[in-house]
Amino acid sequence: MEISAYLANDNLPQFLDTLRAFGTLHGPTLSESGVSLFAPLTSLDRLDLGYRRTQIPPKKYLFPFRDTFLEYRDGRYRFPSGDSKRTVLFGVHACDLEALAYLDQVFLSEPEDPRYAERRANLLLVGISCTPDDYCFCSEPAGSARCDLFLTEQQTGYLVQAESSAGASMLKAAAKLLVSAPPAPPRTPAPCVIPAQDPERAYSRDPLWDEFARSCVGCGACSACCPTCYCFDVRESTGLTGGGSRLREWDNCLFQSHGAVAGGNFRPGRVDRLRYRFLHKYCGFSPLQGRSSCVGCGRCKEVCPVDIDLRELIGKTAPEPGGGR
Amino acid sequence: MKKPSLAIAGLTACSGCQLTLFNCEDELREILERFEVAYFPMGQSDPDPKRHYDVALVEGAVSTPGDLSALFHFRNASRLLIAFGTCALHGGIAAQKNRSTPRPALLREVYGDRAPQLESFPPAPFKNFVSVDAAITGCPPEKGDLLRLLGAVLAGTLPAFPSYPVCLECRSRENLCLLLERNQLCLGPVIQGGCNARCPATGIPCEGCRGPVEEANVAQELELLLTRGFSREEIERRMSRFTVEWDYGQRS
Amino acid sequence: MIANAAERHIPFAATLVGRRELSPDTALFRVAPEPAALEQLSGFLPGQFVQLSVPGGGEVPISPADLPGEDGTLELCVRRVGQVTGLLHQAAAGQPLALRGPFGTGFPVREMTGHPALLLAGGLGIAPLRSLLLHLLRHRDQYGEITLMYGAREPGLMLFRDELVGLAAAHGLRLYLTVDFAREQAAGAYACAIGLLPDLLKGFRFDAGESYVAVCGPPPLYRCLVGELTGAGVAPERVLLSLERRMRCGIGRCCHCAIGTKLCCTDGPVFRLSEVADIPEAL
Repeated sequence: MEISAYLANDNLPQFLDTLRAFGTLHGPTLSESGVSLFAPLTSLDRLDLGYRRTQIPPKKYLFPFRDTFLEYRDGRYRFPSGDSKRTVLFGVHACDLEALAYLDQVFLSEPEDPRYAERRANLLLVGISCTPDDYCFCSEPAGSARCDLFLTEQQTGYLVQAESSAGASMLKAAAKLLVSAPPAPPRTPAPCVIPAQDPERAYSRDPLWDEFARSCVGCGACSACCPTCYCFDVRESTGLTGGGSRLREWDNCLFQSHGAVAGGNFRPGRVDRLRYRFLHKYCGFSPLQGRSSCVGCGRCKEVCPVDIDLRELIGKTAPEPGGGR
Repeated sequence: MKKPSLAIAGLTACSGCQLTLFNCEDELREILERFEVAYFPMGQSDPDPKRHYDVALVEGAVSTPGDLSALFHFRNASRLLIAFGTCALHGGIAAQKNRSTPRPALLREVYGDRAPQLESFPPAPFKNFVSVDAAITGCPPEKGDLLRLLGAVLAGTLPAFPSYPVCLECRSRENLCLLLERNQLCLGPVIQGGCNARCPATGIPCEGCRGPVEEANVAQELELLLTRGFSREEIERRMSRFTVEWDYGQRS
Repeated sequence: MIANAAERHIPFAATLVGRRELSPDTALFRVAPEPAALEQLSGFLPGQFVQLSVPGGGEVPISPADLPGEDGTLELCVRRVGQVTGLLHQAAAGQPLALRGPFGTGFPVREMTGHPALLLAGGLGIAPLRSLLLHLLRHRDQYGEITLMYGAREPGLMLFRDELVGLAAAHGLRLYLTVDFAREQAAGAYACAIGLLPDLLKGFRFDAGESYVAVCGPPPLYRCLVGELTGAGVAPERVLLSLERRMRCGIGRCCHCAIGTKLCCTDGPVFRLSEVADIPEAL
């Protein structure tokens, strides 16, 4: 079984059509208003291979913005019937693949989230190499093993590397379109360019904290667009006929309601919430303590209306050489 | 079990919120099966005010002595008084000139010589006069919010509405950011979401019809719009359209 | 035993079987889960919590006021503070409910064996501590001296008072009750001190070197008591704090209950002072 091969540019359309046998084909497209987004590739004309980053990362396939998590009827809560369809997501950059691997760690760890797991099992990932722009700050855009198949752009085509058995099946199905090529050197997961931070840094007295707290408009774009943000709120509503549903919806740590409890708030000020954000992004929570979840995709910086970049809090007070964790 | 009784009425308003009920075409039968519509002038031939309602959905701003006595009536008669729509909650359209033009001048402009005979004061939200048990924002309110409220009332509670700004839903829908990418006067960051970013999804910037979001950073939104070249006057005029009582210095 | 993943996410059906009013806004609810839930609930430790669903309202984390009975019945001491608890307070016996759990860490009752235990409860904080107290008293011979200091705002808001007095008489529990405010005769009638819990603790002599101290109460209480306790010589590893945060999922996913980089729902809600002392926002 070949695990790597060469795909000439001319064969790309046919190659993509071959992938349709493995599930509904989705990939990067440009909306009418000019927003980059992953969407069904109903026609290959829609494919936008040179995209930089989509507004919403691939997490939407596993963890949609608003999701009915439980239904209540006949005196019992149950999962809604599964709606997940086999999907091939084509053209995912290494940073987003790294982010999905992080979300897998969050949602597939014990006790595994059944809704996420069902969708994840139905999602095949085809990665592609990319060219970083000014917002990007990942450390290794060239490749990733966090997928089923990875395409590395070369002069007149792509080096295609299978990273899973599903990926190998894809290669096999497309054998006629490929010529043999030496396998790519083994890839180690791309380390995040921002190493895990000491939680103490989240409580530093840097005046930048107050500056950010003053200017943050609390729009929520940073976390909606972050490929590893996964905080969710839970709300229940009842229908007129008695049945009910419990929703999960993306939340944002910068909203006032995030730390609220009946009669109080554990993160009353915006600065408390920014510190929380820092902790979650760069220090990691509970089982993921000591792990930065920033993958360097640059979305938060691009979408923030007031140019807040939490990384400045790291840059300004760089740890002594060798002292970083 | 006795059906809860419902009053649906309006003060100074356009009746658009009340119309939201009629727009629930698919659910109207369910609503009528589960609630007794006790008072609904817009939908009844001979509306007859009652002494008690379980729920009163009242739209509009308070701008006349008649409005005020009607509001007191609904407050006293109802177990749950719901501020129904942006006017009831924030003053709305009718209040937009409260800060900029004296009431008599406005009345003269609209009613001419008849103005002095009108008993009218600057339109104000319910909260200035009575306490309300819940609110549904929007101009007009979202149909789904009304249905969620009615469902919650049947379950013995009140609905939990999200408290995030328009931007969250707007970004999640993968709309183009009209503020950043088209330099339009969009109020998304400071306006209560829940509308699924209806307007930006069709290329129209958020005009703020759902009123301020919890803990809006008004001062920063103002600064942001000023640096993007809008005049203070234009910004205030836009922001006042649905909510006049902004504190432009508020950051949290 | 690790329960199957779906059971951690989908609540078991349960029924409200009884309620007892404890104060104007607080009641003790007896909740019977369906038989399928019993196996999971059998491993309950004092201090752990359940996610209680009131259909139509939603879910709230509640730390039971006692370990489940043999029939799996749970006693939940709940104050009416929000929509879900408001809905529960309207409920009568027979009302369908649902629950998931147990979740989180409990009090280290095995490690505490052989040691004196001091329990410090403020207000509704008595609920999880009652569970610990009843457990310690049921295994009375395994523990050293057992003391409960319980402070309430006023005599009418003191929960379980008669029951606690009864336990003190029957099991040799050292019981100190205090209220923040009371008219003099009212305080006399209730036979309790007037003053704040930290003041009561100040004059209290106990074997600080050997004791485990469990604390649960409103947020300001922890800050006041922790200084007193460490000052008296209690090791931070033996100061056990039951903390409250806004847990939405209960299983470490929704991230609302973070305390520093820890999650209250999975790393807590019972923390040792040594684990959280360095987290500025913890107490």
